[in-house]
Amino acid sequence: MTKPVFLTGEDQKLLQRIERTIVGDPSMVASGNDRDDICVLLASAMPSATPAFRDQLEARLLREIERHPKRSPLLSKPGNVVHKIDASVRRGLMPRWRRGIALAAVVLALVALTLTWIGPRRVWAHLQQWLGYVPGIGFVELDESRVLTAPVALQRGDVTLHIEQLLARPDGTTVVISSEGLPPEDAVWPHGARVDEEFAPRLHLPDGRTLQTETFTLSWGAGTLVFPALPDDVYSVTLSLPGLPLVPPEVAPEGWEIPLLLRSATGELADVLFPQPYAVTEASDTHQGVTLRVVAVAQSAEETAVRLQLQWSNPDWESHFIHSSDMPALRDDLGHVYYEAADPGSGSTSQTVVVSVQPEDETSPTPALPVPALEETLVFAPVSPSARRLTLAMGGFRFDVPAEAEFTVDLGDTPRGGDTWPLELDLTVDGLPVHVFVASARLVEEQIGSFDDAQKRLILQFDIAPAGHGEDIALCGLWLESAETGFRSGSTGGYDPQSGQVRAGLDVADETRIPTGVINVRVSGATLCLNDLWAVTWEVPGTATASGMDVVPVTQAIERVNQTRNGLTLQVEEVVLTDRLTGVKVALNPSIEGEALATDHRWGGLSIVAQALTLTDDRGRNYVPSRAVAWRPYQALQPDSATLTFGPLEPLARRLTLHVPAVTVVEPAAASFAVLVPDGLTLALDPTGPPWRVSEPWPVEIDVNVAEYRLRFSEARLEDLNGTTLLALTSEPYQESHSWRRLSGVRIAMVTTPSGREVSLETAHSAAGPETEGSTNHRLWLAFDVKDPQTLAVEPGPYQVILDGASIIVQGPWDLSWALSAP
Amino acid sequence: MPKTPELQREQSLVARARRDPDAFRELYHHYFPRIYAYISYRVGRVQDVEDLTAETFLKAVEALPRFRWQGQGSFAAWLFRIAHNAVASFYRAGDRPLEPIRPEALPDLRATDTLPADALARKELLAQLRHLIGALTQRQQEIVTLRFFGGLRNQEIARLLKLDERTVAAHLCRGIRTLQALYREQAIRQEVAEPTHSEVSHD
Repeated sequence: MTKPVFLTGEDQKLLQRIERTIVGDPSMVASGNDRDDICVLLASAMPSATPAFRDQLEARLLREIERHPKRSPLLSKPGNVVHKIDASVRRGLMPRWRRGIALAAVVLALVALTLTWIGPRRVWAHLQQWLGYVPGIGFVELDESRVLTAPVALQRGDVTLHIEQLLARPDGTTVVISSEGLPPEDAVWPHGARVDEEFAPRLHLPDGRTLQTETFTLSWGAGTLVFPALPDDVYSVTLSLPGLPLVPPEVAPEGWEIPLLLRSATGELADVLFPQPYAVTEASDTHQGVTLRVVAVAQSAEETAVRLQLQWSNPDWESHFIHSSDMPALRDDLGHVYYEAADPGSGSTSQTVVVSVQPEDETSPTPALPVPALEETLVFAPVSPSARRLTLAMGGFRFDVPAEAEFTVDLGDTPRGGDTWPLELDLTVDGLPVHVFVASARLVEEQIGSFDDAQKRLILQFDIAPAGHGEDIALCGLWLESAETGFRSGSTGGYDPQSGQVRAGLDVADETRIPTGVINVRVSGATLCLNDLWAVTWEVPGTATASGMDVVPVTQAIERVNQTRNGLTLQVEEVVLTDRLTGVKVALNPSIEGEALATDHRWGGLSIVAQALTLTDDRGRNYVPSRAVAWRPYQALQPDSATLTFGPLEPLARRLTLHVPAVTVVEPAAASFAVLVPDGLTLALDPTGPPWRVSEPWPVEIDVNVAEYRLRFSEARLEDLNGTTLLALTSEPYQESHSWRRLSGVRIAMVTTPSGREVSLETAHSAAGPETEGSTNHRLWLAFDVKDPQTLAVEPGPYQVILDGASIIVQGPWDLSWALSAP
Repeated sequence: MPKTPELQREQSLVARARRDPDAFRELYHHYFPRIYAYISYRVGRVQDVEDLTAETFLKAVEALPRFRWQGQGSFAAWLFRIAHNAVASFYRAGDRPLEPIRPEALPDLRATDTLPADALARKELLAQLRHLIGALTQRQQEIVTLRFFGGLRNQEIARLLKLDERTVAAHLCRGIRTLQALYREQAIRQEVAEPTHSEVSHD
């Protein structure tokens, strides 16, 4: 039955994911064809939507978001939701011949529309895809050319050498270089520059051969160097310069060696640029007795696979897969931050195997017990072939640990949903006593599902808040058992990392026969969360360069590229070009007192209101925002949130245009008010909304002036969802006075409880927008967490709220266009 | 420990997605294939799959302002719960086709070197796997499809189905074991019914 099969990369990853799930059950890991067969079948059979359906649904959803930033009438008509989808999304309703005619008509209409609307210039740009023009070089056939994967720079002292371009054609190889940081030419050569007769640039090939220049044109620190043609299979060379053009030895360093990577002018990066899969030694990081180690790496143009091992010293701890609550990130020395591959078929949850690692001290006369460990493969976005050093950052590992406790709950004679019982609980976790300062049990009716198809069940739910909730290590799960009849196995609970509250539960088997009297409950285990950050760094083999000769991506300062719309001037400040992304730094300029770009968005605080943020080049090519790769400045620790990142620039682009439809700014504001929470509020399931519990709303009269808006909150209520209790305020309707700007929310600076405690604002939210589709009536909504993390209750009384800003969306569009540095 | 940008990334995306189409787009591209694959195995016919996928995301857009971040995995669990409910409603509403679904009406499978080049043959493979999964208990079907085709972690499935994480792991192991047995049995039956190529040539 078993036939040899060859798995593609994606199949292999899914197969590994499947293998991972059966770890912990040795019988499932047994080798054999059966396992292979079912796994191959599972790995192969991933349904895939048509791109047309995916894209049309995406467009439809984006329109919904645009129309209903806060509330949509769709909810009131759940049964009609599907019918609101464009007819074009639903295929197969039209006879085939009619679809063909319709398709032809659509194509013709699109061609006509393209020519008339986009204009012949853009169309011509598309036609130029295969023919490039390089100033100083002329027209080139892209099909037959190789170019730099990205321009690079090498800094030595105050002088920076830029390799602007390398163009390898069948008839020769042209390298364009320039420098900055040199003194004025006149200061060195008052009577005119003189060419050093010894100036002999060279190109070193991987096989050891060397090419000498045929001709060159030089200027102060710059030049165009022409070498013979490169062999067809060469995608990496090293440029060797005895010195900078026309620059005497005493003015700038001599002996420049710059490794350069090439790509086809029309294709992807060649596999030859990437190292063969390699083993990594001595790359690890240890915190709290847990060691994260990178053991092997495979890089390609499509993805980067990192084999890692997690090893811990406590043999009582258990883990069957590497569970990281932090999103793993891979960083290189150039400035890229790579996230896990977005396609779930190539997800990170690859093969995990339980291994036993022999302790390193083998000289001990007494054989030591093997150390528990896990291995797993994470898959990231492809790493730049120019990267020399990589760092894997992970954190938030979880382990199941032994725990002991037994307690009783007296449910009385007639327990009902909503009843609550205080608990006395002494808990021992991992051998250490844990003081519990508040614990309670309550019988709750829980709703599973949402909207119109919810199901209910009864749970004896336990809320436990351990004292001494630590930042680095925390109790984050408890496993409960009860031998009493009438209860099923433990239900899942939850963990609130902010308060440290743990929730666990027992399902009532039959809600019409709730157990009564004293019941015994046993804690059978616990989960610990380790919240340190593990960072493992290693060198990519074959990338070592001479000391001080590390090339870096080119960062180009952009001047005088700005545009003013509706009182806001946007300026492009900086552009970074790499083989993995194009980064564009945009800011308000001049900065306006009282206004600042919001910075809470990954892509630089720019919020797109009407259409997509786009980057295009002079050849009509469009660059989409980069999803799996972010940028951080050279040697900076964190990604630069002010830099918008797009896909890497296509070869020979000369000019870029950034289209910004709208921006969000935060205008400072000063407002404060008190909102009174009445005593005796109770929460009940909301029959009209998601499966959460809410209080009855109560009227308030709170006037707030922020920016130019005079608002009145008129309604408040408590909203509870999975342990968080929010106080939500809704304003009366208001109208916008300008068509080009609107309020999108307010910024909460501080909230204090009636007893003076400052509440955590981590879950605070605010939003504003039309109350219904197309309505000119807008509402502001504001919510913050009011649950006391120690008592797990909401304190009644006046809550003081301070606002310090209003978030405003300002319509553009801004179209910012600039030329890239010309060779 | 202060939160790293990586830790905050999905949380930030979810918070922004309510009014930032770019953030929503990123979430959509991450979750669309998983939701689609999950619904494909639960429902089958491509037109129903597309309807339910669209319904899931439209409901998600609608309910997004009320979603509350509850830590890693909470958004995935929330989104898949909507999909799960959409599938449940579909069956309750009696929309389930009574007759077996013809392979042509199934979604296509992502083409790989492992699969037949012919789209119909790939769909027959999907039908075969759906048939096998359909023999599992309802709970196992849910968990196996959520785990393998929805790409959810055990913890996320536990959160979604309101189950103990260990219970999820147990269902998963039993489900895979059953699938193995069924697949082995089916393979034996096929071998008996259809002699292999080499056996025919020996005859």
